[in-house]
Amino acid sequence: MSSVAEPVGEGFTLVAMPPSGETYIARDDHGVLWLITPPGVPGPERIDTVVLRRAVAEHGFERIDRVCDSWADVDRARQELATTLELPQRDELEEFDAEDLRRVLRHAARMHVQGDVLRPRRVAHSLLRAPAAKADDEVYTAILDFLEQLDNAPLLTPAVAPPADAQKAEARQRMLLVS
Amino acid sequence: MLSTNISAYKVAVFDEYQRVIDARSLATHKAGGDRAAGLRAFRASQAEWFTRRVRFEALWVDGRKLIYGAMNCGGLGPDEKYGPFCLTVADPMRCNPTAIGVFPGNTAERYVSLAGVVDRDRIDREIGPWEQRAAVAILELAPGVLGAHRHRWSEIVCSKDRFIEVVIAPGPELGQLTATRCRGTYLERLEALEFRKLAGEALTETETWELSAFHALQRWRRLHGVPVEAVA
Repeated sequence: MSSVAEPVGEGFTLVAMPPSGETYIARDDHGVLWLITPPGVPGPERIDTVVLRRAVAEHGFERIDRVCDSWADVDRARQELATTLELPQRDELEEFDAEDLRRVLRHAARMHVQGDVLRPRRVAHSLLRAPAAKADDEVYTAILDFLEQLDNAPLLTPAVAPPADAQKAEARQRMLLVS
Repeated sequence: MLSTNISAYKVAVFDEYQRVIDARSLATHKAGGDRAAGLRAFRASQAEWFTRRVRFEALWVDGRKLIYGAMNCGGLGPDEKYGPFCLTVADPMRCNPTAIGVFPGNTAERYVSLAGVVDRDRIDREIGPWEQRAAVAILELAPGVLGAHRHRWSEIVCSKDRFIEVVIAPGPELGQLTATRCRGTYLERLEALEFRKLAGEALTETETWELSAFHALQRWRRLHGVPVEAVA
């Protein structure tokens, strides 16, 4: 294996990512390379330049090498580059089958158990518009039953826990306002 | 079975072509259909592996259309960290391949020197047909695999540092896939993104890619009967 020297820039750098950007390689302000995975996938992982070049050669990552001021700036660059303009616009609800609807309904029920009322209601209402719901009495009834359950449920107070990040804090604030 | 790990971007492209496409075709797609520009980009991306890959692929009928995967007996493939979506094919012979071979390691480095010299003797010694994949694995991985409990086979045969490589051309059509797999915790994230979108929340660009890929997998399930499997 050859060892091609990689430039070590100053500050943070978005080094490489696939066009979708869910996984990416960044260099921190100490010159350390990181392979950063999306939530739900183990990581991040400290890597070397061989792994970086392999990501480009074998996994479709593209070199970016954009110097940034902070991790937040790296993320802004990532979002800017991962433009979804080329993605075809689809109305997924039009394509959903009964299995899709049950999956979403299960997730909505889990969110309700966690104290979320507004969003499960909004989602359940949207599912009623799906052609697959109108065509399947069992699924349609399940959605209606869930909406009825939401109507009858006492307003839940979300579990009190320190917010992990700003987004969760905002969400918790919204739920408190509803309560 | 054969598996390959891909990004949300590749899921979208494969969805468009309705098949798994090779690296040169992908580069051409990225270049807006400009074949010459795509091949230039492909060459640049390969860096020091370009000559090795070209020499290896020249040995095969349809070598430039090869798809590189790993033998997989139950896991998420060796490269989940590069691509969280794992495509699997239980029996690639049913894809009527023009080329297929099983090798005991990474072909890009194992058989061609940096100077581009092909070790044809070693290829002839080590290559196995798909039907002999277990023998290739045993010869390479013994004694680690012998005596190991069955539940560890998946990890021994296929990890990020060690895997049995399977090459096949052309790439399978979507209907020839056996299943798509994701880590269970990642599927939970994808379902959460779907829920947020339906609740009217804005997603970031990268989240939109991930959700689009998830919906493509669900479309493959509906249209081609390819199940979406969660792996612990």
